[in-house]
Amino acid sequence: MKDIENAIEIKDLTKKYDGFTLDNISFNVPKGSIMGFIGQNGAGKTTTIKLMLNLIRKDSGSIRLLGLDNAENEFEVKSRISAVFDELPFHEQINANQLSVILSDVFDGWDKKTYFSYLDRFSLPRKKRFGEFSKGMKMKLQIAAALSHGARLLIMDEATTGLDPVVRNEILDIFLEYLQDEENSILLSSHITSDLEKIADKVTFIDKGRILLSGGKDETVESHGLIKCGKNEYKDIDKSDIISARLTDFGAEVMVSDRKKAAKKYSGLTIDDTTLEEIMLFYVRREKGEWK
Amino acid sequence: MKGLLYKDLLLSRKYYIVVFLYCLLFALLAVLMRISMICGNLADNKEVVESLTRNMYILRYTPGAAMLIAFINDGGTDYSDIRSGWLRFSRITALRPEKLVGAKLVFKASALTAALIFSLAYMIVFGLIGGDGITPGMLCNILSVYLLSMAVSFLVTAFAFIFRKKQISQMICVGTVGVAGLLLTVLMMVKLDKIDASQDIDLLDFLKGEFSGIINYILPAAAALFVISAVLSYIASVKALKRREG
Repeated sequence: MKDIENAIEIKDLTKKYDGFTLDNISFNVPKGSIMGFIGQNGAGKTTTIKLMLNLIRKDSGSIRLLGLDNAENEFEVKSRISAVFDELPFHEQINANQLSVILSDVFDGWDKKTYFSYLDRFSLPRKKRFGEFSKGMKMKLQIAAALSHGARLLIMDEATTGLDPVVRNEILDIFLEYLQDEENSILLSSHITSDLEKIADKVTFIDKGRILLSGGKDETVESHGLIKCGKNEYKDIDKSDIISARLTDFGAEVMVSDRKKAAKKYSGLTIDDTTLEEIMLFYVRREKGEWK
Repeated sequence: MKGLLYKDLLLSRKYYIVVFLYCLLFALLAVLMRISMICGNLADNKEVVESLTRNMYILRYTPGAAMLIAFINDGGTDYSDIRSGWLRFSRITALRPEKLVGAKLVFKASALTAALIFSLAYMIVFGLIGGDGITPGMLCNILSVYLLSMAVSFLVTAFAFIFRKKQISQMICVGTVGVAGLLLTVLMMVKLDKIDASQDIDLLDFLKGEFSGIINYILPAAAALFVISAVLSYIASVKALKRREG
């Protein structure tokens, strides 16, 4: 593989549907990093991922995965990536042993040893039919399969949704191990921001088909702040500094995108640390301005 | 390709085993009946023997032909691939549509070839017991059923790739069979119209005579239909997979 800077490069990507447009989005995922792709349901996360996997055709823009155009070099790209969705894509009648035989025909780089070591690690039975697996077991199985053919890029679409915290943590640990190899990268789409808070290096916020924010997770969280103030103090805050404000009976919680600037400008007010979840919440309601 | 063939075998084996057992049972009953006609209870009743001999083609062809026709279906692996998400999964891997479709058609052809081997084995045994062996005409007949079954089986697979909805494929199949049945009925009515009602005519002999002109063309026609169906099904299925969005 030639030396590349970004595992994913998306530029001016547009896809129009009746009632929804993925509007000219651009972002990069640096090689060796994990990018959290955040947005509420229907924001455009799955559409973006489908476009990346060439499951749907783009209207315009470009997508490069591992340095290659995803459509022109479709099969070369797909041989080096893995995608995991929230539903198990394997037949319920088969078991893990049989799946290994099948997938050895699908992936050139299929590594039976790695696959079975993941099964053992996840305590997944080899002879039990997938129809009898729990949701957590199904997800672990998908991840075991995804990581057993030498993929350099892992794309996860809402893969941790609906899983209990123990299983989610187990899976997040596996991702961190996977990233020990600096050639590997992950795009993790989710609306569960706490997972991303734990492991993401970068985050990209998408809402209504548009990218609102894209950058380092720590920088993003640190640059934003939540001002908690009374009604009178809220009136004095310059509206151009506000992403949106949650009004309460006692005053308001105000999200600002430039915490340092806000700290200087409103020195009398306390600016609290914020979280990815709060940032998402306030950005999603930015058009309303004020909300309860 | 062997992993994909293995997958289809895993999914369809129960269906194939059930069909095989039914056909085997039918074949055993037919063989026992023939033995009985020669040296058993039935041998004493000349009328029954005569009647059975006249309709021997039913016993000779039915077990094998039934298996061939039943094997057009494979227990629904095509739609199981769609329902389970396997087909979508295969599109996010480097699995090429040509290989995916090729494996499906090879699997169906293998199953039908196994059914043909069963049919031939049964017909040979049946013929040996009766002392009339197996004639080139019999071979042509069963080969025609085999080739037509393959042709239909490939089309059914192509429908699954193209329409993705079982109901649509079923509607097309039922519609096609309906139209073919209607045409055949009209043809039969035209032929039967020639029968003089006042004469005692054996219907089977009459129809044999009427269709003798085209009987030699059935095998070549079946072979041609098989080739056309294989080529069309392959191309249409690959195109449908490449064109598919979602």
